[in-house]
Amino acid sequence: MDVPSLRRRTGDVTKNSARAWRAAPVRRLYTYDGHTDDSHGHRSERTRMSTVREMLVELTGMPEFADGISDDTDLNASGIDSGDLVRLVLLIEQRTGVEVTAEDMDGLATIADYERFVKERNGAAQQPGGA
Amino acid sequence: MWLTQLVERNRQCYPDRTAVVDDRRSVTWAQFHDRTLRLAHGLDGLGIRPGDRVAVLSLDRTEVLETYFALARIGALFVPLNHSLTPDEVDGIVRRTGAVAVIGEAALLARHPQLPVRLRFAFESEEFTALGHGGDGPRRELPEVSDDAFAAILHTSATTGQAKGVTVDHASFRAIALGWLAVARPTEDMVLVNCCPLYHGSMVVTITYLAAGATVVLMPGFKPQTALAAIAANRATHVWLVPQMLRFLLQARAFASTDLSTLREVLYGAAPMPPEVYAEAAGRLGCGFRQVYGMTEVGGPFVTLGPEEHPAPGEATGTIPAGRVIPGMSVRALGPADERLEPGQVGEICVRGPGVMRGYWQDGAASEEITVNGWTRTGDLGLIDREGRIHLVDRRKDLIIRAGQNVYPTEVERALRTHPGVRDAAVVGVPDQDYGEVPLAYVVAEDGVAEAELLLHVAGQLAPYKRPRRVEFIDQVPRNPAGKVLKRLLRT
Repeated sequence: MDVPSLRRRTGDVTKNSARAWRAAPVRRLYTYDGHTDDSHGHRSERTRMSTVREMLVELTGMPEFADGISDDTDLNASGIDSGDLVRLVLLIEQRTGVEVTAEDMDGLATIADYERFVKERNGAAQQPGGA
Repeated sequence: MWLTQLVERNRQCYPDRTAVVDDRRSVTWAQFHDRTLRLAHGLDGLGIRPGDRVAVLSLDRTEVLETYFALARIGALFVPLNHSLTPDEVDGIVRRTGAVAVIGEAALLARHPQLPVRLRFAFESEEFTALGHGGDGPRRELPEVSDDAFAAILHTSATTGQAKGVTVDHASFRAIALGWLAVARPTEDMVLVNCCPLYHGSMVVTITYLAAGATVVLMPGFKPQTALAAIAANRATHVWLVPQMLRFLLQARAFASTDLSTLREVLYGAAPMPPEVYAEAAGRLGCGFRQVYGMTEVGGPFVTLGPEEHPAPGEATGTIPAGRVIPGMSVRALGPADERLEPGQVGEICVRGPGVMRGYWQDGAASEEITVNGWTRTGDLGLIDREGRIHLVDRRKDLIIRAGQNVYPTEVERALRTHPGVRDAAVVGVPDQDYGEVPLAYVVAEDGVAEAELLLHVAGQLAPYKRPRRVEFIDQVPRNPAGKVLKRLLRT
C-alpha cells in the first residue's frame, strides 16, 4: 500500500506566527511581581493590567478570542471552556503563590475581578508580615 | 415507574433526611417528594402529557432533579441539554426530539431565544414558582406510568458529529441502580458530592445513589476550590468525578488546608485514570477508590472495580482494570466475526441486559448499527480475565475523550472544512496532562491561512470542549487506498 508521507509545513511565516506569538507572553508571565516589562524594558500600566488576560490566552491558545472579551465580561458566559477557567485559577495560584478559596471564587467572574484579586493578594504578600 | 417509586420509598423511609443540597438550599426527602408531586401536577395542568419531551437546560441545581422526577411522574421524557453546546446544536436537539417545552436557568435560556417550543420556563420565574405549587388549574389524577415507559433522552455525540438521543426507560434506570447498589453497597449515612453534570449520561450514577437514600450535593459547574469546600462543609463520604477533576483538586492549594477526612470513597470514571494521578490521590487522601465504567447507550455504569481491588497507596499502579460487570447485566468480548472470545483474548467489549437503551431516538439505522445479535457494542477494545475483570486496552472508534466528554473527530473536521481556505482536515486526540486527551487538527490549507484564524473560525461552531487545542499544517492528509484517513500516522 502506498502511503503518502506526512510532511509538516514549517517554512510559512504566516502560519507559524500564531505559534511564535503564543510563546512570547509565557516568558513574561514567569516573573509575576505586579509589574511586567515590554520588549523594550518599559514598565507600563497597560502591560501590568493585561497579565490575567495573557494567562487566558496562554490557556486557550486564541489571542483574538481573549482580546474580544472586555475586562468586565463574565467569563463564565463568554464561551471560554469551563476547564480553562479552572486552569486559570490554578495558574494564578501557581504563579502568585496565593491560595484561592471557595469564598474568593464567589467574587471572581471577570478579568477585572481576577486582576484586582491578584493585585490585592500580591500586595498583601509583599507587606512585612504579609500572608 | 421506578423514578417515582424511589422518591416515594425514600419519603416513607427517610422523610427528614437531606435528599439534595446545592449552593442555594437543601431539601429533605419529604420536601423533595412533595415538591416533585406538585410540580408534576403543575406540568400536567399545562397539558404536558405522557410521551411528551421536555428539554432541561441548566447548571446542576436542585430544580433540575425536581424537574426530572416531576416529568417522570407524569410519563413525560426529560431531555437534558449540555449548556456548553452552541445555539445551533441546542436547536438541533430540540427539533429532533420534538420537545414541547424547555425549562432551565434564565441566563442559559436567554442564549436560545428562538427554540421551537410551546412552553418555556426559567427556574427563577414566578411562573415556575407557581408550577411548583401545583399550578393554577384544577388537579386531575396523574397517569399511571409503566416501567417500560420512556423516561429520558440522554444525548451523546455520534460519529457523524450529530448528537444522538439515547432513549432509556424506567426499567433501565432500575436495572442499573439495583445492580450497582448490590455491588457498591452504600450505607444510609452516605453523602455524595456530585461533580459531574446532570446533562451527561453520568447522571445515572447520581440517580442510583439517590435511590439508596443518599444525600447528593450538587455543584453548579466544577471548580476545585468549591468542590473541596463542599466536601468539607457537608462532611461528604463519597465524591463522584472524572480523573481530570481529581487532578485539578490535587493541584489546588486549598487541598492541603481542607478537611477531607470524612471521605470514604472516590468514584471516578468516563476516562482512563492516569497512574500518577491515582498514586498521588491514593497517597494524599487515604480513602477507597471505585472505578465507574459505563456508557450512555447501555444505561450508564455497568462495570465497577471496588476499593479492595485498587492498588494500595505506594504500590505500583500501572493500568487499573475497569472492573467486573454488575448483577443483571452481561458482558462479552467479541472477535472480528462477532464470535465470543475466550478469557484473555482482546476483542470489542459488548453488553446485554435490561439497562441497555431502547434505541436511539428516531434513528433505527444507528440503533441497528450498534447492536450485534442482541449485544450492544461499546466501541472499546478489551479483554475479560479469568476472574471476570474487564481490562480496556484501546478504543475501537476514533473517539477523543477530553476530561470525560466525548469529542468525535468528524464533527471537528467538518467545522474546519467550512473555512474557505481549508482543503482537507483530520483530527486526532493527543495526550494532555490536564484533560487526558485533547483534539489536535491536521489541516491542508491554502497559503495565508493562519492557525489562530482557524481556531477562531471553529469557535463559532463547536462547543468549547470540542475545539482543537492546536492546528498543524500539512501538505496532505494520509489516507489508505479506500480513502480512510490513516490516523495512526498522524498520532506518531
